[in-house]
Amino acid sequence: MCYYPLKTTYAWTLVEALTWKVGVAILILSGIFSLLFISSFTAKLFSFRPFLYAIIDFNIIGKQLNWKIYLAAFTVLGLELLLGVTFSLHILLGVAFIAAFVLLTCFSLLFLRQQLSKKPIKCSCFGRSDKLTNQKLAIIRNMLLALLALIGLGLQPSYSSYENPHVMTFLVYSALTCLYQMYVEWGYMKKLKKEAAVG
Amino acid sequence: MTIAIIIWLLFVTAFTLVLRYIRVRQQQLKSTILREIGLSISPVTALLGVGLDDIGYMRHISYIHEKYGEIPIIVLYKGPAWKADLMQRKLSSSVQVIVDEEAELLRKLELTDLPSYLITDQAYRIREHSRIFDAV
Repeated sequence: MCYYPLKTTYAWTLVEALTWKVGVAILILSGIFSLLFISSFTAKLFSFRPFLYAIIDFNIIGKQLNWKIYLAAFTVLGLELLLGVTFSLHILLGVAFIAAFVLLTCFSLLFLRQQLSKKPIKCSCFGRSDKLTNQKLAIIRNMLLALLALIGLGLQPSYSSYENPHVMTFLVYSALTCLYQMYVEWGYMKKLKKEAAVG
Repeated sequence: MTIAIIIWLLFVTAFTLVLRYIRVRQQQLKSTILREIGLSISPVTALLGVGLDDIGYMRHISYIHEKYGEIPIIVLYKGPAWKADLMQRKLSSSVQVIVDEEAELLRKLELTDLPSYLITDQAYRIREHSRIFDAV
């Protein structure tokens, strides 16, 4: 009986192709999550007060602006920054996908609770906005992202890049999110200019 | 890699400076809007936005008086004129009620989360912008 080395078989080609595809999928997923979390962190940091008000409006800690609200705000900000950094550097991806799933599920549940109590909210999730958040859309968005995090968690064991943290990716993504934030603020300034001209 | 990090640091510094400029410009534009609205403003004035269903406006007014002293307050009321009239009768002369049924002024002044207030000076600069929460 003759045994061919695995490399020459169809099965090996399939494994190679699958590994390559998993690599690309992980790259795309971590790219999406790093952009999402870094931009969300930057937006919340630069519109910190509306973010505090949003936490109060969710009414989970209390209805007063006190140290507990600040603690919750800094915890969410810290988590988002940490997740943004880990996803863009491609380090600790397993833990990052679990944390992302938990965080996004929590956000979905909070929006669901708010939707059921029929209280409108302005979450300022991605920067300054004078419109109320479309809660149904926010629930769907967060649930889809949580699902993507689960997929990422499932794919992640066959991909690891501990040796080369992608510092360049982090630099590029954070620069992109800064540009987006600038675009949001610029848009708001243009709106004010228009208001001033009309007035 | 070092060059990339240096470029990134320069970019972030430039971003912070540009954002600071945009924020200053936004403040100037808000002052212009406030001036164009044509409210007579004393050295320190509070502009308080109150919604139609808000029955705690007396509490909000005393909260502002407690925090900033006996400053004049302009209440921008998002409701019908007759209700604003009733409100005005209950209040002292240092509090002026202005009807803003369509919330046009409130929107322009970014007082959209009611109740919230602005503290302005005579040069129409906004010194503080905050919300008032239920159990103050």
